[in-house]
Amino acid sequence: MDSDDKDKAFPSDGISKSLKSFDIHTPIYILTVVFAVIFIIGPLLVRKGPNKEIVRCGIMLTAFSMWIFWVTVYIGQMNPLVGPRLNNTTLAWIAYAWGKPAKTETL
Amino acid sequence: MGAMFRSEEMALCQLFIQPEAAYTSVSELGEAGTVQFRDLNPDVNAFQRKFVNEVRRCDEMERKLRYIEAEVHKDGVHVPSVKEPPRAPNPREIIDLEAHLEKTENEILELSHNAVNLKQNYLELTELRHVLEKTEAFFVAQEEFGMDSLTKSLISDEQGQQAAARGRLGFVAGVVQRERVPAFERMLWRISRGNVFLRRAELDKPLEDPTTGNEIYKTVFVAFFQGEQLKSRIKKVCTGFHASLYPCPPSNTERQDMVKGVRTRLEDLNMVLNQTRDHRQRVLISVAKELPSWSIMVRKMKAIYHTLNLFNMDVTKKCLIGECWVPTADLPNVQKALADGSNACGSSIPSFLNCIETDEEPPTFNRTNRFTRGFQNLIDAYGVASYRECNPALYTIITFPFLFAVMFGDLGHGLIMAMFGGWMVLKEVSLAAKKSNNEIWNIFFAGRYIILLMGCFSMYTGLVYNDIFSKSMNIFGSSWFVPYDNHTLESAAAFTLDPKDSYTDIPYFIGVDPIWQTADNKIIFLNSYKMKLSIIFGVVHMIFGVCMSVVNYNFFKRRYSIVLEFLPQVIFLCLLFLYMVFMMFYKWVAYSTFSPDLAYQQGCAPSVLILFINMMLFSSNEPEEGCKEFMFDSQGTIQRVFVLVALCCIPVMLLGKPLYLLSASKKKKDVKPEQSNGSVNQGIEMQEQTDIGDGEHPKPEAKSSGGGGHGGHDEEPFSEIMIHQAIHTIEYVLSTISHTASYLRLWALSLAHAELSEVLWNMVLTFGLKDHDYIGAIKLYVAFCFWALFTLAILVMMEGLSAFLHTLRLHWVEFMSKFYQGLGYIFQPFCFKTILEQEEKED
Repeated sequence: MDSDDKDKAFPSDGISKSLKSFDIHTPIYILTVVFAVIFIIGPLLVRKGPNKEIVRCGIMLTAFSMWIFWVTVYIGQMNPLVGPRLNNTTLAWIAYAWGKPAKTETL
Repeated sequence: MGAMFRSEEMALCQLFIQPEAAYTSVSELGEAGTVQFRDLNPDVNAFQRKFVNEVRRCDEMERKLRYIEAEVHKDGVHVPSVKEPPRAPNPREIIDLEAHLEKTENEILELSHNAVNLKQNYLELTELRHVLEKTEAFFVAQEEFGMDSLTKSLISDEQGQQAAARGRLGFVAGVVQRERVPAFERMLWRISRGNVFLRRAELDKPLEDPTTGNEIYKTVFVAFFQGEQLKSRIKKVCTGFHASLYPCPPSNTERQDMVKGVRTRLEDLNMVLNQTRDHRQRVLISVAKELPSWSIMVRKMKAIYHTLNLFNMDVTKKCLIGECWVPTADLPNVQKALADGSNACGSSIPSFLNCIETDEEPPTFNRTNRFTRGFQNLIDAYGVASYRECNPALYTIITFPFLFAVMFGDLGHGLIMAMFGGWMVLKEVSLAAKKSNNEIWNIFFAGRYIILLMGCFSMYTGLVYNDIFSKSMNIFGSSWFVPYDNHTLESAAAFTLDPKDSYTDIPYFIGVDPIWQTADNKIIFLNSYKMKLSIIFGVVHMIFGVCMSVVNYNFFKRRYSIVLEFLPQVIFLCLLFLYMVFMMFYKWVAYSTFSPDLAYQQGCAPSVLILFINMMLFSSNEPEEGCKEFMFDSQGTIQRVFVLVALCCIPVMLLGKPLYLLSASKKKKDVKPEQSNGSVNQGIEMQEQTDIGDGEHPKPEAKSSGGGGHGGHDEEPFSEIMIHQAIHTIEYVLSTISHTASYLRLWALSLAHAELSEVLWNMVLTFGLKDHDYIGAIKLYVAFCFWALFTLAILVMMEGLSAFLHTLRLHWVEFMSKFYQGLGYIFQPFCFKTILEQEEKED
């Protein structure tokens, strides 16, 4: 891919490279299927009763709204155009705490 | 479809009831609570109606019951609440009840009267006793004084002898209220020119006033004077000051005897008083047990007679006729109630029910249970749905809490709200039985299911916003990492991570990435994201609203409106705003820092808003170096086509329906002469009798059940239709843009909530989290107290109410204005339960 401008020897680089084989669209497919199942199969599982239609309507609306909420967040973060701006102390702590410590030797 | 999809079908029915069975039948109907009676005697005075005497009897019984209730409460007797409300009494029971009430009332009146008399006696005797006891001291002193004055002649000899000759000092003894003593003394001084000698002693214990029961402090006094004239003057002053005078024998022995006599009489009187009180207590307790059920029975009776007053007596005086609205599904229940009523009174001729056709718009009835009632009330507060219109309450059950949650999104606050709602729901039986008078609590309790759902959805949106009490959770591992080394980090105070270097290209699985919580430019990212989210939700919600109108047009058989109104409306909305939503998604997907094409990298991403404005204005922007103006090829042409088609929809919206109706009415005129459809308010003529005797009513026209109320359209002149349609069109077109922008409040409120939450944490709770020693524990305790208080008061309560209000507005205005008529009137059945509840609330 775009390895020409990535000329750094960071261990994270390798991780990110290998994980790039991970299709970022997979979670969309998975969760869409999950919510679609709830949307379609859920109403069929409702017991008979005076409120059957209300429960069915409720399940369908819930599944749809929850899915659209999630899918918007996911797609919105899929290709970020700006990154977060953090203090150097926060960055150091994040690097330490999240398992990708900053290198100590200088470039 | 289902229960709440649209309001129930109603039928106008005539009831023919035998006069003997009328009372019991109406009683059964009241217990069933499924019919709404119409007044068949609207121009008859309330005092001239048929059953006015019975209503008077009920009023009289109610008065007696109120008196008895007041007496019961005065004595603090416990009134047990009735478990199951009793049925209305039949005529025999009514007579018994009346007699019983009269007897009880008289008994209580007599007891009260006697008690007052006895207490008066008791008071007089007590005062007399006090007078006798207190004046002991005075007389002893006075006797000495008198004796001494005679023997020692403290006054000059001749005067003393004269005084002795003239006689001893006379006196009056009595009791006066303590507050009046100074004025009393002054008055005595004035009238006697200082020749009255007053001795007084205050009574320590207050005495009970027999009529009012108040406790009054009194003073015993003895006024010594000389001469008969003074005596009469003093007596007049005493009456003026409401002082009670008592005969007090001057000699000691007589006084002692009197005191003993008074004491024994007092004890006897006390015993009698106690016995009276016990008797009264017993009577009241025995009455109190039956009091609530009696009062319910009398109220039901009164309601039945008021309802019977709405009936009409037919000419042959053989049966009572009533008109009522009944839900079609409940017709068997009504027939059963009528049959029960006839059986209960042993009437041989059964009552029957006859459904009639009418042009009038029936009332709107939605059958609700305790869960759906709250949501139905939210919709009815705006306007009751027209008859058989689509009921938005069905969708409000989910969309209302969800839109609330978009504005409230915080896992912690949502949890608090869900727990509060859950507690109210789990304990609803015991909480409902308490019947509180606190209006705020009643409102919260009535909306318990709404609060529970709002809390649950808020937990979901809080999870997705990744916000729990203003902190983020890192469940799935952040997608961002730090590419710098320590040396680089030391060189500057802050760094903006570039997605090229720091992004792992695996988006955070569920929700907003936790790295944004600590970022300085968090607002920039969240603003862009939340604004787009609000527009997406808004457009989806509004398209849903517009699509609801299809259901209404289809049901009311105005299929032409589907092509002439719905189609242009939805095309206009979709081509412009759904396209904007599409552009948002496309920009998110197409533009990336890892894209090989320079035009699709982050520096070249165009603003969706600018693209939209340019689209509407048919203008264009010069793109930057190496960037493209549009996001995909032929976007320019597509946009132009969309705008032109959307603009073409406007004249269709404006002229389509009026021209169609014009041509349709012309066709009707050509085919057959126009029938008069009759006015909207028609009287109903009985099909059994030929004349009623009070005025002629035109024959009703049978119309199809779906036509109700809309036949009038054909009568409207073309200009009216045109004006209405012009207003609708302008309203709709302008509302597409204004309502879409209005949905941005979803963004605004969630931003405000997040900021408040963060400020509260950073300013209040961090105060207690920074110390390392034991003092820190105390600081944390205090800080947590304030933080929790403000969280509950400001963030949960105030923000919750605010978001509730805004969600309500979004539903009422932005969603329901797309399809809702809301011109109906609500079905108010004759139901004992509602009548009793209303009266209790008034009490």
